[in-house]
Amino acid sequence: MSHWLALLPAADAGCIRSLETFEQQALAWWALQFTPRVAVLDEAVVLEVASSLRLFGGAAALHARVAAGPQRAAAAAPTALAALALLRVGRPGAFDSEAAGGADGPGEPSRTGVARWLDPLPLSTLSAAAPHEPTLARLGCRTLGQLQALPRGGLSRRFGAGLLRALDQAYGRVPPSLDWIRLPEVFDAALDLPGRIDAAPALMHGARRLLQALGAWLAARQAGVRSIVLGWRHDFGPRDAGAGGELCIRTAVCTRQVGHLERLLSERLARTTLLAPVGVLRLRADEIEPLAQASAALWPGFGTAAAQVEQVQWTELVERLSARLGADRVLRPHLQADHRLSQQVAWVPATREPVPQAPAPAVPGAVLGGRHPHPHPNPPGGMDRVHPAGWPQPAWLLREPLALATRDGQPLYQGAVRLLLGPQRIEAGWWDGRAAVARDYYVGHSARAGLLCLYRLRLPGRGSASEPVCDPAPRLASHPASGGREATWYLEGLYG
Amino acid sequence: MSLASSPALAGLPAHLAGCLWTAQVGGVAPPQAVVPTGQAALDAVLPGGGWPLGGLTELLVESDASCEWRLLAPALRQVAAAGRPVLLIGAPQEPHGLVPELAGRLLRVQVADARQALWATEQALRSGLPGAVVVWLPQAQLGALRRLQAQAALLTPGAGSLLFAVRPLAAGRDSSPAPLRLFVRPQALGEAGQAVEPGAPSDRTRAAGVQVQVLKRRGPLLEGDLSLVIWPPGLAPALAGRLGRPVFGMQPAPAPVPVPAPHAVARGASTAAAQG
Repeated sequence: MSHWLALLPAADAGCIRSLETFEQQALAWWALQFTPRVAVLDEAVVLEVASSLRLFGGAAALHARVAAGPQRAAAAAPTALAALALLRVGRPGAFDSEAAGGADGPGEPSRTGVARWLDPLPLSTLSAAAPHEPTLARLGCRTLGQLQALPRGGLSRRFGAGLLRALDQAYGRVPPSLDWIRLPEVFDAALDLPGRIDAAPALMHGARRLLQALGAWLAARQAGVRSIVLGWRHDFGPRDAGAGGELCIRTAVCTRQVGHLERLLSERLARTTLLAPVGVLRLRADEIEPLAQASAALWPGFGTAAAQVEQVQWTELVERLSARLGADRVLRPHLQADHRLSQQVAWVPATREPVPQAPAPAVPGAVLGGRHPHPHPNPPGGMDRVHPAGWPQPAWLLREPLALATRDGQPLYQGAVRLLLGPQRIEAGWWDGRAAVARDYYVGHSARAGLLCLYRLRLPGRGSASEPVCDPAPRLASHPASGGREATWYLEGLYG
Repeated sequence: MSLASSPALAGLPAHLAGCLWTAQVGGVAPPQAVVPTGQAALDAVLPGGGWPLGGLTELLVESDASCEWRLLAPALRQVAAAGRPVLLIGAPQEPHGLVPELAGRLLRVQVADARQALWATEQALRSGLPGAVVVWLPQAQLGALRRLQAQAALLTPGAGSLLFAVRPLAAGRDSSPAPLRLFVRPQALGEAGQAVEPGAPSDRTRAAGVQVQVLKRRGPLLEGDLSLVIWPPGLAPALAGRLGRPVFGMQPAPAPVPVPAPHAVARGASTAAAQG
């Protein structure tokens, strides 16, 4: 017993022909999730779902799922042409269990039910009979039931065998001959916009439709996309504006989530300016990869679905933040084994994966003095460079060390600074040229600012044989009291 | 004051009695999902015994990066140990201290203004992913804070996240939808040369002091301040043990004197510098 559904694509009133075709194709791709037997018939999409009923839990459940789709109207009947006829006249047929009248049960159409529904319908609902409608009306034949009652030989001689065949197909006596749709290998869809668009954010409306078609295509191919290209063609613009433009959206994780791509695209379009009015939009999916949906595991706790979902969510959040704020504003820390405080953590953009590892040079004997109070344990989360333990680490580091004024040899920062701990001499980076440090670190306390991490430069000794090792301090030369002692205290960090 | 003391409510079954909150002196709001703060004195005055999950907590500080990090560090460490990410939005300086422990789970977002900070916080909360979000808001409108609070409260209690907004002291005068608001100040150190009484906290202990005043909480008003001693990590073993004696066996070193020049012209300048 076959069960056919006919769906009418949603289209704005008075839209152009190519848009209707595009909508129909997108609806057909969407319908592929229910059954592989989907065909385009006149202005609607028909699908044969008898073999899918058991998978989706019965006709009523399947109809409920289809009803939530993007189509404008739906109808169900035992044959394809009958479903189309019911759709045209606006009756849901077996789609709505109330309209079924109870005789056939919720949604299960039967052969006699076809005749019951088709007989009272006007001739215009059958495409093969519509051109002969005036002639048949003069014969007194206005409904399909009356048409069916006419002698078959006479019908075929007068109006052609096509009409008889369509009638037989509608009443289920002959199986229909339809071309099932085939999914294209690549996704490259173009959309004619109904009017010329001047502002880039207004392109989002058309782009959204293209993205929904892309989502249906990806679902039907069991694939995910890594990069999409949205292109547009100019229409009546100045000659030097060029033929069009395009922009490319890339994601780190292969995704099928159309909503995420929509958000990234809208962020990019908000920053784009169009050089000329745009008439045609085009969407191309560049990198396609097979993407298996996470399936539930038999035993709870054994599935990796939750971890995968979390990783995808994390990547989506990072990409969303980077798209609006800029990729260099969303940062992740990368630890490096170094004794210099400013080199211990490198902040890299979070969209760049994997994080490059800096080589850890061996620094023999650079740390003099000080004790290691307790070793830091290996940090969770997979970072394999251990923060070297030694001097207590400040909670905040200033971007550039701040030179402090001094009074009687005591540094000043929001009040006099009392030195509590120190000194700890850190000399490192001698291989690094300008980033070499030779400093004595202290922990100080200021009444208003709390605990501070300050350092003092090792002064070059006069008459010493070797070249003095000192920091390239940019403020040293321009400091007004730039004697040997006053300008050498620097604030590097705050113990927040 | 327990509910059993009231005769009208004594007959309630246990599961209903736990849901009921009577607005009496000493009664604090019914327990909600919390993360312990790491300080027993603070846990005792916060409703539920810790930082609330699924609500906005405001910390009002005198200047950014003064002592709020110390207060939040134990909770952030716990959240990261549970495997959930931590987001820092609009941090005033470069974070350095807790980074090795949070490394795999830390994301730092730099923003140009308050609007971007609020947007980023909303996106983070909406994704449901982070375990803790700390956002620095020098200026914020009441409507924006209300949206943040509503967003934080939307998440289910089990999967909620900690949301901290660090705002300036002046914001304490304005009303705010946050269910918990604290003033956080570093404790002032005594003047140099003040005699230390035996038994009083030493200068070194008070250097790590943090004064917390609960401005608003779900429960009766808390009078007075809480003085907590929270050590920045790594400093406690060095400073807390000794009272009045410098550690590592040395006084703060005096400024090194420049070596006197061998010729007469420069000698006058160097000796003057040595004396000055």
